[in-house]
This record gives sequence, structure tokens and C-alpha cells, in this order.
Amino acid sequence: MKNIEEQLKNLPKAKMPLTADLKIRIMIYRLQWRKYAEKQNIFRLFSRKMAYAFASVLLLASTVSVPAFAYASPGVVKGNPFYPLKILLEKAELAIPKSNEAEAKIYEKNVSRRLAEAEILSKQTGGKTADYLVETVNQAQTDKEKASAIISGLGETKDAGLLKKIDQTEKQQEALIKQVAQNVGLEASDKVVNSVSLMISTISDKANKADKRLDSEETSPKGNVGDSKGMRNVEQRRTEATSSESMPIPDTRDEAIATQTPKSPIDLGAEKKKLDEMAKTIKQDDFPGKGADTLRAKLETRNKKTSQALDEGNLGKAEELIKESHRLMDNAKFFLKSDPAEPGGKNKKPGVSVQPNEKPKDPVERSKGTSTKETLNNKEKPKSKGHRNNN
Amino acid sequence: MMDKNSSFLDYYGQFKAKIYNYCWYRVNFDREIAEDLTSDIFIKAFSSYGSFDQDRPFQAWIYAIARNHLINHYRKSGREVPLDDSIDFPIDSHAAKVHASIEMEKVLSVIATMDGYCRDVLLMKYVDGLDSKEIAQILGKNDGAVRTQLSRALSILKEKLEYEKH
Repeated sequence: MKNIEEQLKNLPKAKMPLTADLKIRIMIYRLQWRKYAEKQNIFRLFSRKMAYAFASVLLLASTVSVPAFAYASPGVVKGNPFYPLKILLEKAELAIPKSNEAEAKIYEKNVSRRLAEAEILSKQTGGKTADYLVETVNQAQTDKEKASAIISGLGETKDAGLLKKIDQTEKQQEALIKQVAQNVGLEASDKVVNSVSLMISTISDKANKADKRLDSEETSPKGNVGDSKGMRNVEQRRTEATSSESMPIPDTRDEAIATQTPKSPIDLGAEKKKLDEMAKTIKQDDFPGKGADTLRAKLETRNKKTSQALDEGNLGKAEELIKESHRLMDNAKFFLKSDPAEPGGKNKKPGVSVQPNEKPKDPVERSKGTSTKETLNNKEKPKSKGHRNNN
Repeated sequence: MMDKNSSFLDYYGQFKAKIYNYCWYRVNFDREIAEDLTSDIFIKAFSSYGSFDQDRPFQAWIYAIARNHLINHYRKSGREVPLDDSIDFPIDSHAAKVHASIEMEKVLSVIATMDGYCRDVLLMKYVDGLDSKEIAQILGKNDGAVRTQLSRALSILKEKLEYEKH
């Protein structure tokens, strides 16, 4: 048996030829590569599918979120790539048919938006920031006038709730525009100061009237604004407040009145002389640092321009310049930058304690004993409706 | 025994000669057919390598594939018996011829007359160098049965060789 086993163990064993070995190895390598390539293709397919899915989600998200962001964010200011989209959405919102009250609310909302943008722009410097700021504030002014025109056009149908809401909005707008003024300072260019000053005058005046209205509503025993009588009272008070005080820049209601009332010419020469006197009375205590000098320089420049306009017989321009000067005097205090070192904080003004929602006493008024507004009010109301309406 | 992370090419290097030899003995020592069969077997194994359980011995797995592939090959070629008396001794290489003796020719001739099970057991044991346990795994039998079969095959072979002497 052992002999047989030995013979079996010695049976020939074939050696695989090298060519066959190489052939098989190459085939295995090829298969391995094909398998790897298939995996890669699967991965690519997966990636492509994922990429499509991701792109779709991104597109959907951007379609919704980008306009929403642009629309809602005050950070999207003029000069931002999304700003045109924001304006477009606002226009679309206005294009949808709605009640007058709703339209007025939208305009008021847009004013608040513009002022919030202006507040952001006022902190920035360089580039076209100043131009953007002026355009933004002017747009706010336009929207404000539109809102006022709609509200005044409502007549007896005005909703007391709407008025109250608008009054509250105006308080916020007032705070915003004053903050803008403080941020830009008196050193800002004339166009910025003029624009901001005009807006302050418009809003402050309206806000103060709103204060009075709200105060009287709170103290009134018949404070139920929901009934028609209450409505009439509110409206009456609003009309009275409007008619009893002059507005530096009359709104559309005033414009309507203005077109009906013949005006006697203002003594522009006398007004100019008063402004010259005012420029001389600007005290260093009231406008610390370079404030007094800057304000004086600005007034003097305007007065020179006014003289030139008067000499040329361009009364409209002279009148406009005088109005600008008055507004500047009225609102100069808001352009003073707060001194962090000075106790009293941000609201500390030279010789004036400015409380939120409280209109401080004018430095000029204190020095002269008369308000610049009163100075103009003693005269006939100017025919011009503001520098933008001048043409 | 290779570790679990061994690549297919490592296994190929280890078992290519055994599988080639296995095929060569079962296709009437036809070198070309043996090469083709070996190639097919390894390609088939590679395609199924993903399903191969690394805890199991690769040898048993590759031999099982080889065996099934050979059965398919016989079926296709219409022949069941790979070794035949009528064919010449297949050792056509010079070296093989040198080593081949008349005795070996007789042994192979007797093996060729045995039934498939006995022939497989003998060739696996003495040509492929597998032990009874490995043969049992490949053939799907138990170890004892393979040993018994092996003993029986050797007895038959001895008897036939002695008979041929006389």
C-alpha cells in the first residue's frame, strides 16, 4: 500500500504556463478596473443626482428666502444688490388693489423702512453713501407725503385705530430720522443736511401733533374712538392741529389749500437779514466743539446764496434757501454728535435736555426768544412746497 | 491560510497551480482546455468574490467552483469521463516524459477506470495534496466518509495493479 501511495504522490503535476498565468491576471485586473469604474460611475451618478437635488433645493430656497430676506431686512440698503428686488416687492405690494387705509399703512411702513435704511447708511462712509442716503431720505419724504395725502383724503371715513397706529409709527420714524441726523452730524454735505433736516421737520411736526391728539384722547371722558362722534372729534382735533401750526414743508393738504389761497409775497430781504442775525447769535455753548462754527458757516453760505438769488431776481430759489436755513436752525441740535465723555450720554445736547419723544427747545429760540418757525409763520405761508417741489 | 483582507490576486497566486492541475487531470491532460477552464474558474470566482464569506476557507470555495464548472464543461462537451484508456498518456512535456514511468502510466490507467468519487478522492489527496478534511469540505461529505472512500479507492487501485502484473 505504501508503494502505491508513493507512486500516487509522484504523479506528474502540471505547471501552469506563464502566458496563461499572465492572461488570467490581465483579465482579473481588467475586471477589477471595470468594477472600480462602475463604482465610480455609480458614485458620479449619485453625486449628480444629489447635485440636482441640492441645486433644486437651493433654487427653491433662494426663490423664497432671497426675496423674503431682501424684503424684510433693513440691512438691504440702496447700493445692495438685493435692493432693487426689495423696491420691486414693495411696488408689487402697492400694486395690489386695496383700501385707502391699507395703502396709507403701506406707505407709512415704507417710510419706516426707508428711515431704517437711512439709519444704517448714516453709519457708513465712503463711496456713494451720501448720495444713497439723500435718495433714501427723499424717498421716505415722498412716501410720507403720499401717506398724508391718502389719510387727508379719507375725510370722515377715517378709522381712529388707523390714525392711532400711524401716530405711533410716526414716533418711531421721528426717533430714526433724529438718529440719522446725529450720525451724519453738521459736517455732512449740504444736500444730506437739507434732506435729513426736511424729514425731521416733517415727521417731528406730525409726531408732536400726534402727541397732542393722543394726550387729549387719553384725558377726554368721551375717549371712545370707535363711535362716529369720537371719530369726528379725532379728525377735528387732527385738522385743528394741522391748521393751528405751520409746517415747514406743507403736505399735500397744505398744497391743496395753497393753490386756493392767494399769497402775498414774503419779505425775503427781511427774512435774510433775520437769518444773518441768527447766524451771529449762534453760541459756542449751544454747539460745542466745531458745531457752532460749522453751523455758522453753513448759514453764511446759504445767506450768500440767498443774496445772490435775490440779486438775480430768482425769488423762488431765495425763498427755498431761506426755508432751508430755517429748517437747519430748527433742527441743528439733532445733528450734534453725542460726546461719550460727557455725562448725560447720547441724548445730552448743549444746553438742551432731549428726552425721547420730546422736542427740545431750540437754542436759537432760547437766544432770540422766538422760534424760526414763528418767524416764518408771522409771515404769509410760502408758496413753495419744499425744495423738491420747487420746480 | 490568508487573512481576511487578502485580495483576490493573492488567492489567485496561491491556488492557480492547484486549480490548473485539478482541471488538467480532468480534461484528459489537455493543456489548452485546462488553461481555459482555469481562467473561467478564476473569473467566475472573481465575479462572486463579493459574496465570499471570508470566514470560510478560500480553498474549499475555489475548488467547489472548479468542480461545478467542470461538471458544466462535461455537460456541454457531452462527455462524462475525463480520463480514458484510449488516450495517450498526456504528459507531453519533456520533463514530464522523463519522470513518467510505465508504472505511473499503469496507475493513471487504473485511476481512469475508477468511478468519479474514488477518482476525485485519490487525485485530490495525492495530486492536489489536500487532506481528508479539505476533500470532505469540497465534496460536501464528512471527514470519515472521505477517509473510508480513500481507503477503499487505494484497495481497489492495489488490487487492479496487482491483477495487471499477473
